[in-house]
Amino acid sequence: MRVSIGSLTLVAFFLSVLAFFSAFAPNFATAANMENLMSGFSFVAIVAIGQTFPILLRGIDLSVGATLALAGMTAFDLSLIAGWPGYLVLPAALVVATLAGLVNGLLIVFLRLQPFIATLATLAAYRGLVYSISGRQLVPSLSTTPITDPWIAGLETYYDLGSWLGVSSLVRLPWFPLSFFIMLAVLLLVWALLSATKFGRNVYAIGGNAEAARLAGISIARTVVLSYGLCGLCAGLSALLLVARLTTATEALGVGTELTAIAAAVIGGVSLSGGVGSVFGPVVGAFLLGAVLLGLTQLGISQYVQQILTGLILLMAVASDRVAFVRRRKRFAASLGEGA
Amino acid sequence: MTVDYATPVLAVRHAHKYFGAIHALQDVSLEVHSGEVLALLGDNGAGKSTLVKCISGIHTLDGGEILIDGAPVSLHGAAAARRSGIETVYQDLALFDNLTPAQNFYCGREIGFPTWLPRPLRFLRNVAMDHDAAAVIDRLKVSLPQFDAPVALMSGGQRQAIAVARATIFARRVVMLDEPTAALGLRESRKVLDLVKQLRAEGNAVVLITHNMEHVVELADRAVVLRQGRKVGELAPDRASQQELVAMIVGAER
Repeated sequence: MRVSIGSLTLVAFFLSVLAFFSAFAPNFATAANMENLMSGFSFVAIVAIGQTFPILLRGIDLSVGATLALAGMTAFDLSLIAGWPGYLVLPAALVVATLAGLVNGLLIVFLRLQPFIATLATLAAYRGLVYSISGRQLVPSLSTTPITDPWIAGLETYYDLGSWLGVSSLVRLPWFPLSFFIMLAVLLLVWALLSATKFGRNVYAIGGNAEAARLAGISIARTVVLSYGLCGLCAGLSALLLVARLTTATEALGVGTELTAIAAAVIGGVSLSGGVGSVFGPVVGAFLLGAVLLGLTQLGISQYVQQILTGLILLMAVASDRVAFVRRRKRFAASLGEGA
Repeated sequence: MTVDYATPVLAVRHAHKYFGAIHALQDVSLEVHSGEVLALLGDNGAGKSTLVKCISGIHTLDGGEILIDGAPVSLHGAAAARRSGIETVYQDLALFDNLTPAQNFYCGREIGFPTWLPRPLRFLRNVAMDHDAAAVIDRLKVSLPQFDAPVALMSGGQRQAIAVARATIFARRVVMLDEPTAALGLRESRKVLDLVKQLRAEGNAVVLITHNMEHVVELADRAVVLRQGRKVGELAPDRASQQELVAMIVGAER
């Protein structure tokens, strides 16, 4: 695999952020804080991995936060109201999230809607659906009942790798949450799908030049619909991890997650102009955002200032993406003009 | 390669195409034989690109038929036309800027394995594809600065050479080129014309759309002229008939 300068810059930036907060924030470089980072942002990373598909296709999925809530509420209802066992609840919630994603894809392909408009509409619709199916409203007494099904609660497990490796006497390693390993598994699967299969190559081709992809005989409709479906599936998986962590689902689950996920993807070098970027970027981007937020909190900087800084980081990432795009265009125009 | 006049590799018979009220192709017929270059001429809007898109499966004909090796075929979609052995180099290149030359070559028909997996999930044989693409680039004597860089970084001539070379990898019967030299300088045009000659020498039937009469006279074995959706003439172009061709294109004959 070719390692681009951009991804090296990203990793260097991530490491320097870690170094900065380790030096200046009092409790940053502790095992407990690293646990927080891993358990608190693995679910964001999974949403960001899903978001990579639409963005590579030169689209966007604004509905992932609402899809996440929809899957979470489905799990809540099925587990607490319907009393389904966890091994049925988990796949059912994933199916609901995947269907939500597929609907986005179908709207974009068959109604020829701009992805931005289509998913903005479904963002509102899915969130409304969450309120209308909310088990907290339907059966108010359930709103304080935690989900204790072992299959769901079991997703919130930590592994003490330090003792397992026998190094706990030397260095205090954080306990690794199961969600972190699930995130790694999703990362590997999606990386293989995007970089080594025909489906992945088609995604890059459509993002690079949709018209040429059509001329090359690639089925654009199928690729787009499946991609949005996979994005929904990732949001659903993320919802299950979040529900396991909170032991409940609320109507406001995942509000704003779409912005964090898009920010993570763009910071990770997935170009909004389509067809450029790998799936590792969004994961590094998610943990980068996580490290900044945790570090700033420990430095005692207010929530509002943190939001401003997050916005500024996103702005920087988008601007550098834009500059790179304009530069590519210029170089191309120059090469056309001058000839061989 | 000798020209086989027995059965044309590609024949279009009485083709009609409508776009709403516009009758874009009106009873157009033509034949191309293997080992010859057919120039398809006409002013803007004459229906050349429409005809090419019908043959390459992008549009479907509203009337008439297309025959490959004498047998009628239905070409629904670009993939079907390709399976019939028809390769097309489009006017606007249709390259993927974000992919490398080898990835461009194989886009939409990558070599994948294992075959028991559904097609989209097959793993790509990147090494084999890179190797084959490099061999073609080498055989056609196209010089590229970097073989593993995205084609966005390459010059207009190199990009056109990649587009033409892509057609040559898979060409089995017919190669159609829609204004392959339109955006190129003199030296780069020369390179592309050499590629066209090579395609012909390898036994392909070549359909060449161009506005450049010099190229027509130099390369084409026959020329078909379209005007306002109709076929208005066919001849073997040479220096002497160049004026006549131009007159047919603009509609000033008689």
